[in-house]
Amino acid sequence: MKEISKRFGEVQALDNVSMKIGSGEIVGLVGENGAGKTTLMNILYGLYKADKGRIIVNGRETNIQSPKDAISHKIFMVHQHFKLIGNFTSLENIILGSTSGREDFKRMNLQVYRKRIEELMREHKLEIPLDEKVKNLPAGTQQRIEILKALYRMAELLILDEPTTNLTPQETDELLRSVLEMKKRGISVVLITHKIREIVETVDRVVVLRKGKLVGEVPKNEITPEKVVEMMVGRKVDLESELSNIIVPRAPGAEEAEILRIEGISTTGDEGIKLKDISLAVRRGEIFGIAGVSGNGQKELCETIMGIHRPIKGRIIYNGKDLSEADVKERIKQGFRFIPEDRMIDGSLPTMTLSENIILGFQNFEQFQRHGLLLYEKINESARKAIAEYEIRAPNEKIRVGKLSGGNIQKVVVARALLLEPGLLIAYNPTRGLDIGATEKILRQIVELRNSGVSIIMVSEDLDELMLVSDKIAVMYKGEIMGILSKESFDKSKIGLMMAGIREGGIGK
Amino acid sequence: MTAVSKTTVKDYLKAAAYYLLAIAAAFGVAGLILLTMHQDVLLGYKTILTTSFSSLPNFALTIFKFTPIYLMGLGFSIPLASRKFNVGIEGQFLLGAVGAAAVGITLTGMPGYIILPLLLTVALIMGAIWATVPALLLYFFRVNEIISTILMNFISFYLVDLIALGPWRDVTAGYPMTIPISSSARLPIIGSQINIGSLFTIALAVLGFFILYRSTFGYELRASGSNPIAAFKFGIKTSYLAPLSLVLGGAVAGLAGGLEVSGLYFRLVEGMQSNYANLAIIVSLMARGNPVALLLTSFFFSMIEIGANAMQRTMGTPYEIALITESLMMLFVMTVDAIRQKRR
Amino acid sequence: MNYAELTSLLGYILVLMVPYSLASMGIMVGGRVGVFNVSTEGVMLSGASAAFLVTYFSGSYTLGILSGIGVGLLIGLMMTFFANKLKIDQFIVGILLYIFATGFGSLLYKEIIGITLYPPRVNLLPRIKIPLLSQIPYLGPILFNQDAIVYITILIALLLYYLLFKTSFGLKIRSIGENPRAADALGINVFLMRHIFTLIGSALMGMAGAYLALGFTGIYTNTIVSGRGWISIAITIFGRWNPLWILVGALLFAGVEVLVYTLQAMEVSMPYQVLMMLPFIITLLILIYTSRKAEMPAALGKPYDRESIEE
Repeated sequence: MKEISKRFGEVQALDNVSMKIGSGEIVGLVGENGAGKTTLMNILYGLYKADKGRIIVNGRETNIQSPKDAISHKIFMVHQHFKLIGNFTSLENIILGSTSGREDFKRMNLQVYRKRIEELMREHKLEIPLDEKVKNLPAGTQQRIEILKALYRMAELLILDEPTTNLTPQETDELLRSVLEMKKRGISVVLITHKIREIVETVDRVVVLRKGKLVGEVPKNEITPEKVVEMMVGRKVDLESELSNIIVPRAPGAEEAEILRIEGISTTGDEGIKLKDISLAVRRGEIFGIAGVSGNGQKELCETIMGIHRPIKGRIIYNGKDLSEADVKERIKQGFRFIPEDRMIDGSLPTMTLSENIILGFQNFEQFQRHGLLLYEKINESARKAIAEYEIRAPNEKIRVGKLSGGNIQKVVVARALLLEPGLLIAYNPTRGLDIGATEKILRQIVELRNSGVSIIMVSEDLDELMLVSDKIAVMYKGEIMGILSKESFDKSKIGLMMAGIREGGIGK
Repeated sequence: MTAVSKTTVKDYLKAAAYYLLAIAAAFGVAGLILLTMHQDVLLGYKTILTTSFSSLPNFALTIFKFTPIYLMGLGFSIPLASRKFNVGIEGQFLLGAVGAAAVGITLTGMPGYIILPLLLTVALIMGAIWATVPALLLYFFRVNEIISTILMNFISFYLVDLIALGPWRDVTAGYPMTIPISSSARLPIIGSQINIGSLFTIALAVLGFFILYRSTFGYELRASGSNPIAAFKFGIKTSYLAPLSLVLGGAVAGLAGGLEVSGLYFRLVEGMQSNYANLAIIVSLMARGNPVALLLTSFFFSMIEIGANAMQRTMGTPYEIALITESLMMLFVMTVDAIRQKRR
Repeated sequence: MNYAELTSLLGYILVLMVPYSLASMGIMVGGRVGVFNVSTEGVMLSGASAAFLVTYFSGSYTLGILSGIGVGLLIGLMMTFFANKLKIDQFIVGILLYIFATGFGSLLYKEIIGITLYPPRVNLLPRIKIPLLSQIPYLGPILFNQDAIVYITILIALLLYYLLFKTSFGLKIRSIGENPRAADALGINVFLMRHIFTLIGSALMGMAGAYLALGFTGIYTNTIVSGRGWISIAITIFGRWNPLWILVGALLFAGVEVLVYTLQAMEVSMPYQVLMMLPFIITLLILIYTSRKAEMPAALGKPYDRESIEE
């Protein structure tokens, strides 16, 4: 790819980026969130069109206008958010779109397709059930389906966008092994990621982007995580030491009061993953982390604690009060605050103003209304303060939130959670999609809250981040808690095993 | 990150100019249609746009039409805030009319100040009841309100036919309608033409605006329309706000029906709903659900209606041309919106 | 009632099945690519108006049906332009086009024929007696003595079923309605297919309207559709967006309509207005029933924008 430039509105997403990919080569494409990695590959795959630049495949200049063109050049991309049809079976998903012309209109010959896929599954050691509806399959399996889609089409270049987000550490290892397997067969792979540590062993080369520009390339033997991060961010960053400075370590033996106790919570599973007999306790001024591959009940647990779902069994006691029957509004009044999973889908009101978004959940509070009528001066004032404090890029508090960028919407969601003296903050991936600077800031804020006595339940898919700030970590797997570890006993491989369903001291269910 | 530009007076003017362009385009298409029918295009434009202001009776007529259009528009706007399309305003209007006629016909010999409030309340309640069926279907079975409210419309047509040809039938009339309501049940008139029903519109506009945009209830309603999932997760009871908004919309539409019976027809007449529903939908969409802006759009369309009717009388042009123009107007306005969105 | 009357009555069920099933299949076809076109009632009216006028003046049934289809295509073009290209809310566009098409259809008729005391008539589509098959006792005269469009409708249903569920092409089309992003990433031409199938869907609706005028009533009035378009939406949902089930649903509703007429003719002691309400009440009940197992294309009703940021 030569001199690719791309602009989205007023943002220069890519500026004159060039990169080469050799045959049978594994290239790591790294950079922060928003650096342009996905955009670059989307252009290669035909989903976006570059404003400037050329793409040359196998020595010949090409004009890739759509994924169809990319696929015809044997380029295939597996996205971070899987592009699978939930209501179709795995088989149907793999063969979808693989035929064209006359063959399209003939009766589908499922036996022939099936045979071919089974052969591929054996060759590459990627097992999947072929006749299950994809929406019922777990993330790891879905990823394998995506890879099989590429192999079925005889891809020569496979692009994997943030492939390890939804995997346990063990599954990540398996994935990287299959990537090496593909290299043996001459398939080139581009791994887009911001988690350098994981891919260091596997890649031949690392290409670093920052804010849309090419910073440089690092060949295999010179790769160190520190060097790459420095190139990604532009300065020396050592998140670990900075944060550990502000975490007030607990004096051993100091008994802090338990503020939240959850006993034996079980749910029906109608809303997603079924929770089975969850019990945990959170102390005042503590960060309680929840680890696990996404989709194992973390979201459901957060929402049940928040009051969004009703458990069929169990109790939730907060500050001495049994809140098991309390609805969300009541819990918010008691001090519960929520940063939901998806800022757009769960967290924002796109057609309403920033002010109105900030007070979502607080609209009945005395500060903001009298006799049922909203006090807009107060509301707008709070909104203005939040804009300043979190550096939200918005002209004023009256702007419709739908017009803000993702990162700014996340800031609104966080601002809302921290607006009025939180007692218990339930945060799901609070730093998702934010660049290192903002991530740092929010983690710092969360730690400061903890120091001032607020309790925080934090779910994160980034195990490193979680291990950094949490006082305790509970690992979830298929709706159950596999184990709870305190800071002293944090161990990545132990946690990894629990994430895969293997309890301490034996094989889990 | 992007720097978003501030909205200035200049931007508002630009927006207004674009919308005028859209409206002009719709009229342009109408003009083309007129041409194919060998009509005088300029005369047509003149008639449509100026008839309302050409004489006092015409202006009064415009106000007469404006009232039900506005109220039904409000009946569509309230559910619209929670993203529900209450296409059943027609049926709710008719049920309100039925209720009003019932009160007006049966309660004779009572003074106006008792009958009228009663009559209007009954109209309100009947409209609400008619909307309650789709509301319940929505709440319990998640049935799409577009289909359910329209089906209720059709049922209401036959109901009206049944009543208009039933025991209250006016046998002297050549058309299905009931006997007139008692004189005390009729709305008092201001001046010599306009009844007080029109004042309701102003009152409701102000009330509607405050409730929708300044109250916590309105906030929660709009939130559940903006993003029902987020609203729900932060404690708003979206599951019954949407059906409730339908019932409220039905009440307002029912009131419109009651006012038509008590202020204009003085009886239940089959077909009295005219095409107010279609107009109400368009004016509501155009006003983006804002009860105050609705006053303007309703008046504008009422004006066009009077003009179109005049055109049919004097030029022989089918009045349907108004419907075509009006629906195109809305489509073009939305086109303008969509294009401007893309530019950003 | 004697045997001949019963046969002709049952035959009417097949006749009425046509507009219901064509309209419902029109909605389904659009729905399978994610476009929920609710303008059906208006398109049917315009289709009926155009078809009647063309047949009345030209004497040709074929031209009439084609004009119905043509009008459907025209309004479908508007639908796909506003909803797919400009990405305006599909329901709003659908409702506005319903209003537009209603005005258009009645304008057309009013201009050309105007208001008359006795509406002009055309002869209904001629029946085709299929040799041998129509001799079968009992079923023969009902099933195999119908006009051409009835047979064509059934063929369309079978064809659509085969196309959508038995071919790779169908798989591609259905994927567009399930997850357009996924389909796009696989090289399927989402945009083109959405346009084409919205048009086809609308054309079918226009054809349904044309048949009402030419195959059922022989005249045109502004009330010729009287709710069948809206009911068709319910039939589509009831039929789970599957042509064969839609056919069943259409037969059921045609049956209800015929039942209502029969009861009226038999002068049952119920006021006829109540009988006329029956189809709509039954539709409401069906909607309740289908809500249990609502199975519709996952991405129905949403516009698709390739470059919209997916967080």
